[in-house]
Amino acid sequence: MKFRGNKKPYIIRITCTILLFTLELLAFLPAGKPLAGLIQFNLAPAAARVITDFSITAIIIVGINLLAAFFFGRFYCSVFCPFGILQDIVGTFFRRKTGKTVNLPYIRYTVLAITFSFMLLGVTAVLRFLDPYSNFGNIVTGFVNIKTSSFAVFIPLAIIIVLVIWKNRIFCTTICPVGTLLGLCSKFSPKKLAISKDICKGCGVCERECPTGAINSKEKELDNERCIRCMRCIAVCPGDGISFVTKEKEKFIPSRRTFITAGLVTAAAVTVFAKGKELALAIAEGLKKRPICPPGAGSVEDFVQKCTNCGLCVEHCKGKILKKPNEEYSTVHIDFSNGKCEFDCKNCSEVCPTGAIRKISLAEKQNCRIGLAKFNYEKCTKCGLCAAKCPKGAIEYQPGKQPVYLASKCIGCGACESICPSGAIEIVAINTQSQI
Amino acid sequence: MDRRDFIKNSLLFTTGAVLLSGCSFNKEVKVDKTGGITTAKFKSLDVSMLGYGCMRIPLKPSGEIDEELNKKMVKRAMEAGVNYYDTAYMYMGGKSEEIMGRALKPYERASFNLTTKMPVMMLEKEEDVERIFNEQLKRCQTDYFDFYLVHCLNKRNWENTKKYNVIPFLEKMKKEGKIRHLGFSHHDTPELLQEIINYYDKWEFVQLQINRLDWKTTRGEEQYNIARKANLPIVVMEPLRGGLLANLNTEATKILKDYNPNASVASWAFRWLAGLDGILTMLSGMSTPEHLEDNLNTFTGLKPLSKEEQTVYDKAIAAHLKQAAIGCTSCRYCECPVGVNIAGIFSLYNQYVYDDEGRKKGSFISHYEALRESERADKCIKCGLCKPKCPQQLDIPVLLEKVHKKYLEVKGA
Repeated sequence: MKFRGNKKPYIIRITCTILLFTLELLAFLPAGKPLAGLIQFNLAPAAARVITDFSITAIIIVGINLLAAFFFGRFYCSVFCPFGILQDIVGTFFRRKTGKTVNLPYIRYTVLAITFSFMLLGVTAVLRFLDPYSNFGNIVTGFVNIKTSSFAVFIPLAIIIVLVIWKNRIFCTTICPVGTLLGLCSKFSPKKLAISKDICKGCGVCERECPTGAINSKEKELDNERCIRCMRCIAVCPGDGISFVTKEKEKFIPSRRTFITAGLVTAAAVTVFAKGKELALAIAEGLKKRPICPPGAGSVEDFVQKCTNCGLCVEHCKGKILKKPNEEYSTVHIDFSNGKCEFDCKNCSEVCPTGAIRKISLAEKQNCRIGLAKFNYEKCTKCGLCAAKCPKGAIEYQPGKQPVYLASKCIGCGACESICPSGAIEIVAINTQSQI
Repeated sequence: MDRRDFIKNSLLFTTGAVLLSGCSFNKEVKVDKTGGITTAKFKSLDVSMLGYGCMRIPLKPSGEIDEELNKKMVKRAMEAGVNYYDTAYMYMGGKSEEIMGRALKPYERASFNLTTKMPVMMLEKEEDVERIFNEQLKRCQTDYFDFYLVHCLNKRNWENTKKYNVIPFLEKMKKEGKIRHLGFSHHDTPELLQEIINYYDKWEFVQLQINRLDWKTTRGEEQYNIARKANLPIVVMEPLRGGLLANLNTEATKILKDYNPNASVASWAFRWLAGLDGILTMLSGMSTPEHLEDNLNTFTGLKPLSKEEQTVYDKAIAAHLKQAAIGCTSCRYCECPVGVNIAGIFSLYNQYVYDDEGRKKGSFISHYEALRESERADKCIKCGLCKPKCPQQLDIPVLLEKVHKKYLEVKGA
């Protein structure tokens, strides 16, 4: 990329991008827990949280994001969205030439309608495959846990590399529901980035540089709906022909295309509303195996319908018991084989950006039953370690006698299972978590 | 209506209400000298103690409703003196009311008592109450219902009843003459029954699930006593408990047949009920002409069990229950945290043993295996959290183990 015009906006933008991307990446390190707050500014998880675990903060975040897009355009996509930035990085390394990216409004509106309908039904897990942040989280945590991750984790990465090589940021303008939503905010804003018809000589440098195909240099038009405000065009325009202007409100004249799109969108939304919940439940029912869910998840059905599998909780779990989906479980789950749910930790609840794990207090967490112990007394050697380690006093032990299990006090933290030297205790998943 | 009419009407109504609430139900089983169906006195009515239940209308082998056969059975019943017909909005997939409307069309309206119920479980807004009520009148082709019930009251449905102002509406219908007598059917704890009775003092009757099996197990006796104390005549539903009391196991059947080879097993259950005071009618869902004939036989000159017969019946029931072993009533209060389908498993087991272990071997195995693996008895972790929740005080983990052993045993054999 050769700077021929005003490079200042681009440099400011790229600096912000690098800074924010680094911070978001660091949030996935165990030491980066304070940065997890930054993750919560992602639009899709915040919107999910409004539905799954209603909070004013989440509403404010959604509002800020939408207003910002209305006034300044989709800069979210170039500055903050980690998946978008990942695509730029991939592009820098793998992309040879620029080719015109196509405009497919039918697809993006339909995807947005489907996503939105699913979310209204409470099935926020639909974001697992569509939300850029969740996909990014899945890829990052897939790499961090590369030894235990299943192969499936890398499919989204492979797909996105192929898409970027083919049509650059086509994901952002065609599939991504977050991008489509922000695009709509930007489209109807009076503030627009526009090509000056007087200055522009139609050289087409900007069009070749544009990652989303928002510029048509022949018609000297710039589609603000798809423009992600990367500022590349401003930096490369030799005559400073692209700038922000305030435009008169356009008259809304529905075209045939608008009608077709609206029809498709309505059909998609109606279909989801009619069958969505059933489908989601069927998927939840068909779980390979019932998982033990982190405290605050509610029921297994709730959790699988809500978790978008970004993996942030997996990285911050103190006991290292939260695991990513694998061949056995189709969702984030607890595995007690190498540890226990630390009694004084509620990191997963704190960092979860989507509200699939609700924000709960430490006291609630310490009384939240996530599983129950199953004793195999044939293997028991009556050592009493389980009773000593149980933080809830749910195991009574007298030397030389079999420990007595008091299920009513048990929260299923796994302290007994992880300490038992003879493998006589197993924590079993329960359908619905409860406060004891 | 001018002011004078209004005052006159309200005075009349008040007097009527005072009189009605003042006169208590007088149990007086009238045995027709000519050998007709035994009746009970309800206010000015003589109600046949056999009620024609419309939840189990005869079906063709194809599974369709056999409307012609039903008409024939209604004709037979009417001739024999059965004058209580109990339908509901939801019965037979919502078809029961229409079918009974057509079946009873030929008869003089005053010659029978038609009963239906407000499906409070289906209400979503207050307007639904009126819409459904009018639809019921139309379906049944009538201007009024002799008896009208708030259907299937349990905790949730009772909340609905209050939320959607069902009682004030029904009271209005009563004032307009569209309902003659107002009651409710109850499917919950004695505590709730008491609450419902206390809530509204103009209930005229109550429909309860009373039979020899539920007497102790679902606290039927307590419910019966509450209704008696409140002086409410009782319409008995499930007198045979879904047919179970007509199909006792071999040993129990033998005890009864040895004593009286001519009496049907079902007749014992009805006659046991006849020994209770305050019964208005017993609803029997008769699905074949044979059921009807047997019942007509029982109810013609209905006699309570004698002391001696009572002992025999107790012995038979004990023999039956000994085999069934699990006194689960499928209330599902146990809510297994790991998802074992406790009530489902016990019901399968009971059906299997009721039916003389062996005959239904195949169906027991196939039904058990149709349960999801996570729901089966061997998934019980013996945490015992269910035990305090069980109203029948069953030792569920032990029983589950027993059922699973039985399953392995039957399967292996």
